[in-house]
Formats: sequence, structure tokens, C-alpha cells
Amino acid sequence: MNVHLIKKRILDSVTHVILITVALTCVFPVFWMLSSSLKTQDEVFTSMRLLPQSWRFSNYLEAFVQADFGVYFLNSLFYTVVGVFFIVFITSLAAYGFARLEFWGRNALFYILISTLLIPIPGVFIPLYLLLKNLGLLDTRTGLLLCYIAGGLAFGIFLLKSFFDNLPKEIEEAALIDGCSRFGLYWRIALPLARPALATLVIMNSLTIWNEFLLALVVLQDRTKMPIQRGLMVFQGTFITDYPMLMAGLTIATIPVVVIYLFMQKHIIKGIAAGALKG
Amino acid sequence: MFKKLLVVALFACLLPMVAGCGRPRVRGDITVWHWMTDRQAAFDALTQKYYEKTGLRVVFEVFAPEDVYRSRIQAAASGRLLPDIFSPQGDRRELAAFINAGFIANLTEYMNDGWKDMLFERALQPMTFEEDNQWGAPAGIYGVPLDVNSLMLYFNKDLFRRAGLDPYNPPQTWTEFIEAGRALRAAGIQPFVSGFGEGWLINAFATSYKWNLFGREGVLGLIDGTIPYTDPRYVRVLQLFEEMRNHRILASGIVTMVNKDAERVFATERAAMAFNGSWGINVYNSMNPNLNFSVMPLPRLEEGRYPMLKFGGEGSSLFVNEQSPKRDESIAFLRWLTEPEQQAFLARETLNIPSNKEVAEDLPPLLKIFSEHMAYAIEPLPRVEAWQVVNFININLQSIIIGERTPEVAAREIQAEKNRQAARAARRG
Repeated sequence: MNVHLIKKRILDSVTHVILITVALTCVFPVFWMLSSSLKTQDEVFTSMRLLPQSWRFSNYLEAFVQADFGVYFLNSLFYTVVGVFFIVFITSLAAYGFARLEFWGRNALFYILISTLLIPIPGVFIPLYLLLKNLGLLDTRTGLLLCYIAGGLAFGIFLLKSFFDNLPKEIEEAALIDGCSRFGLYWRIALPLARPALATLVIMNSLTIWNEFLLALVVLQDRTKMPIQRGLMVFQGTFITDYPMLMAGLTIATIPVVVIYLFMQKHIIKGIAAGALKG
Repeated sequence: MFKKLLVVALFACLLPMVAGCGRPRVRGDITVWHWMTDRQAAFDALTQKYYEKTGLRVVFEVFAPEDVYRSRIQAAASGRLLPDIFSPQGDRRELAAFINAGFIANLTEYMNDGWKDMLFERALQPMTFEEDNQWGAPAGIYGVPLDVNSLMLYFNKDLFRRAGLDPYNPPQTWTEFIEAGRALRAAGIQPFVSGFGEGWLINAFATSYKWNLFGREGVLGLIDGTIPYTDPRYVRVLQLFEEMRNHRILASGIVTMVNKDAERVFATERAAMAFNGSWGINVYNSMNPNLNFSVMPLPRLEEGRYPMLKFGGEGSSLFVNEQSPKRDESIAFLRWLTEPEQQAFLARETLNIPSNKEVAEDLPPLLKIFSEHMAYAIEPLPRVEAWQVVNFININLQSIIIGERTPEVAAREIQAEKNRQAARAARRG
């Protein structure tokens, strides 16, 4: 065996050890969540075993019923699907406009829009609450959805504009010569080519809306309109947290996100590789 | 692509119809916004009872965690959309701001009608404003305490026995406490744990001894600056932390430990004593049902000339919206809620000390000890120390524990900060 081969094997082994360690640190919290979801409350605290002594699958049913997940799950699905749909639709149109159309104040408008990313959500609770009250949208699904959509616009436009900027103009020019309209260019040329970036946008916004909780709690009052994260709240008392129930609830709430990710991971990798996340 | 988009859009339009098929919202005659998720079931049971009695439907709506609840209350106050009953969940300054804005009803005349006599006086003090208070709130009683709490020393009876200590004769004085700690350490047991990473908890521990050595007037003297923090009695308070360090009484990592972690350490029998609030009973039982523990007051100093008082008082409290169309009905409901029968029910269900002192006899044994010690809770003072000085004290206490400063140096540093804040206040006029 020559020295070069030995060096390569050592390097490969070290790389693999590092990667396996990183992977384990990522997987362990998920494993702990699953394991704790099947334990009893005192077992979570007093037993150091990684696996439960007796597997309590009934925790899942109890968590589902106690947290009223039936209602919240559909609400979250609605907010996520509709919110992401409008975010993608509006941001792709706006980003295409910023990338391709020449108009007065284009750059200034773009930077103003991007600067809204710096505003933290809790900082706008009170003005947002008053605005929704004046619009008659407080405690309505529409009000909350508008907040979600508005919250996703700046990042979406920023992401897609960078992607559209890098698309070769020649393709669009050829389509124009063939008689394609301006909207046709966006719809038939730019949007299909931006599929990887759109997938990235879909998954990022799906995660954000699915996991969002603070805004919903401020905007909504009627618990039948609340998202799934509201259900998890019942397991967190002022002083005591019911960990097995919370972990079972978290597992239930995580499943859709994992499914979305599994379906779209190919596009996300493509999106990143194609420069969708370029600044 | 267009077809796919159309399908998604149609799906999105159909979902609200399905999502709307959940349980309909119960609209009440009186709405209460609260943050106590673990008490929702008990509140629901009580409101049902109240409905059967009066025909009035009271709805408790929970918004947690507490910081979100506060944001919601502030936003609702700005929009004049506060519910009939709520809590501003802030300090006295914030409470006064709500009162001055006309959001909170003055309950003095109702309280004077025999109501306040059944409640712990100490629980009412934080929501009571005297004439000419520094916040400009009109004098009166504004809130209704639901429960009270105080801080005491928990101890593990089994670990005490293992170290050769008598669990029925826990340490009464500081010297006995140190001796017990040394015996526990010698037996390989961590003697003491608390969430000293949280400023308020380490401060609560020190405050009890400050009152033990200074008394009320002395504490006010420290606040007013007539007694310096370099006073030997205050240095003695700081020395207690040094002694605990020198005798290895403290659990490892205590200065960075939050109370949740400290509770876990005690519940899993990795420490024999814990300084914690009355809620700890519930927490420890839930984490480890087999934990064999009891509570005792903090051991007094032999040289202490004043009573050994405890940090504690009001637990959770509710306030009536002055602008509510159901103002009087809301007050009547809260009065009903603090009556012995309802308070006993809440105490049983939630294991908190009820604010109604008449219920004390019916409490579980440990809760009863806490309840009996409510008479020794530290009273709120008319003036408070500047928060910058309080922060500085907490940081210095932690520094002593890790051996970064001696008590004497820490006392000088605290006094220097006190002087800085006094000068700043004088400049502001």
C-alpha cells in the first residue's frame, strides 16, 4: 500500500468521523423527542435510559385529544397552504419586476423593502394590532394570513430577484421576437426556470408559517382559529411542563414539515446549487 | 404549471370551510384573559359551577407564555379592547400606568365590605396604592389575588438520613445549616441547590438575611443611602455566600443554573436542599413522585436581631377592566372565586397556596407549612432600590460564589454603584 493511499484513507476516516459526529448531534434531539414522547413524566427526569422502559404509544392519542389537534391541524394547513401560495405568487411577480423592468426609484424601493427584514415581529405587535382593529380584521383568519403574507414578501423578493438577475436575457429576447407578451415571459419562461428557487421559498415559508405562534396569539382570540402551535401550549404550565405529552405533540406537529422537506429536498439542493441563495 | 396552481388555489379555498368545522367558540358574558395554562381545567370547572348558580357564562381564555400574554394585553390596551378581567403582569410602575390610564377598576369599596378580611394582607399589598405614591396612582386596592407564594428551604429526608442527619430536626440556625451541609458533603451528597443563575432568586436568598440583620428601618436606610452597603451587617450578608462556597455547600454550576435546572437537580436527588418557591411541591412531585421531601424556613443568623422574613406574597392576581360593560358582574365573579369553597377547590387542583386565609386548615401538609409562614413574608416597601444597584448586587453575589471577589470588595463595589446612581439621580433632579 503506498503512502498516498494511506494518507487518503486517514483523511477520509477523519472526514467521516467529523461528519458522523455532526450528523449525530443533529439527529440526537429528534431521537430524544421520539424517545421522551413514549415515556412517563417521572421517567423523563429520573431515568437515564435512552429508550423507554415501557413504550407508551397512548401518549400520542392523549396528546392529540388533549391539545385539540384535530381543529388546529386543519387551521395550520390552511394558513400554510394559502399563505405560501400568495407569498410565492406575489414575490415572484415583484421579483421579476425588480429584475427585469426599468422604472423610476427601482433600487430605492427594493432597498426599502429589504430593510423591513430588520424589523423584529414583537416590535410591531401593537401597531399591527391597531391596524388590524381599524381594518376590522382582528380575530379573523384573513387578518392573520395577511400578516403572514406580508411577513414573507421581503425575503421572497430578495431571494427570487437574485435568481431572475442571473437568468440569461437571451432566452426572453428570443421569446419576445416570437411574439410572447411581458406576462408570458414571466409565466412561461422565468417562472419554470426558477423552480429550484421557488421550492426553496416554499419550504422556508412553510416552515415559518407552520411554526409561527406569537403573531397568531396576538391577532386571534377565538381558539377555533388558532394554529397547531397553540395546541402545544396546553402542555406547558407556568411551572410544570408535561414533557411526554409535549414531545408527542411536537412529533405530530413535525410530521407535515418533514413530509414537505422530503418531497422538495431535491429542488432545494438544486436551488442552492444554482445560486438561489446568492446575495 | 397553471393547472397545478389552480389545484393549489382551489384546495386553499376549500380548507377554511373544513377548518371552520371545529368546536364553535364559546362566547361568554364575562371574558377573562389569563396565562395560567395548567389551571385552565380548574377554571373551566369553576365557571360551569358559577353558570349553574347565576346563569352568567364566564369564559377563561388562555394566552401563554407570559411574555406573549403581556404583549397581547399591551396591544389590547392600546386598542381599548381589553377583556372584562385581565392582569397587566408587570411591576407596580406598570400597574400604576394601567390604573392612571383608566383601565383598572378601584375595588376599595368592595374590599372594605368584608372582602379583604378573608384574604392574606400580604397578598393585597402589591396591588394596593397609598396616598401620594411615587407613581401617581389614586389610593386604593385594585387587584384580586388568586393565590400566594413564598420561598422556603426544601430538604430531602432520605438524603438527610443517609448523611446521618435527623430529617425531623432540620437546621434552625446558620451554624447548624453549615454543619448539616458539611455532613452531607462528607457523605458524597451535594448539600444545596437553587437557581442562583437567576438574579431574583439569589437576591431573594440574600434579602431574607438582610431583613434578619437590618429590620425594616435598616433596609429603608440602605435604600435611602443613610446606611452604606459597606456596613458590617451588609458585609455579613455577603459573607454567607463566601461561607457556603468555602464549606462546599453549593451544587456545582450553581451561579449559572436557572431555576428549572435546579428543580431537576433536587427532584432527581442530586442535591439534599433547595431554595425554591411554594410551586416547587407540584414541580417535584411531577418530576419524581417518589421523592421524600419536606420544607423548612431559611435558617436564621444567630446574631440577627430582627425576624427572619421570607420573600413572597401575591402569586397570581386578576384585575377588572374599569371600562367593561360587565364591570360589576366581573367584580362579583372575582369575589365568588376567592370564597373559601372555590379557593379550596383551586388549592386542591393546582397545589398553590390560596389567597383566602380561611382555607389554610384544609390544605395538604406541605402547602399548609407555606401558608402558615405567609405571616413572615417580607412586606413591600414604599421605596425601592434602583434596578441598576439591584443588578450590581446580584452580580457581586455570583462573583463571591465563584471566588472572584471577597465580600469586603463586593460591598465597596456595590456602594460605589449606589453612589453613581445617586449622583445620576441628582443630576436628573
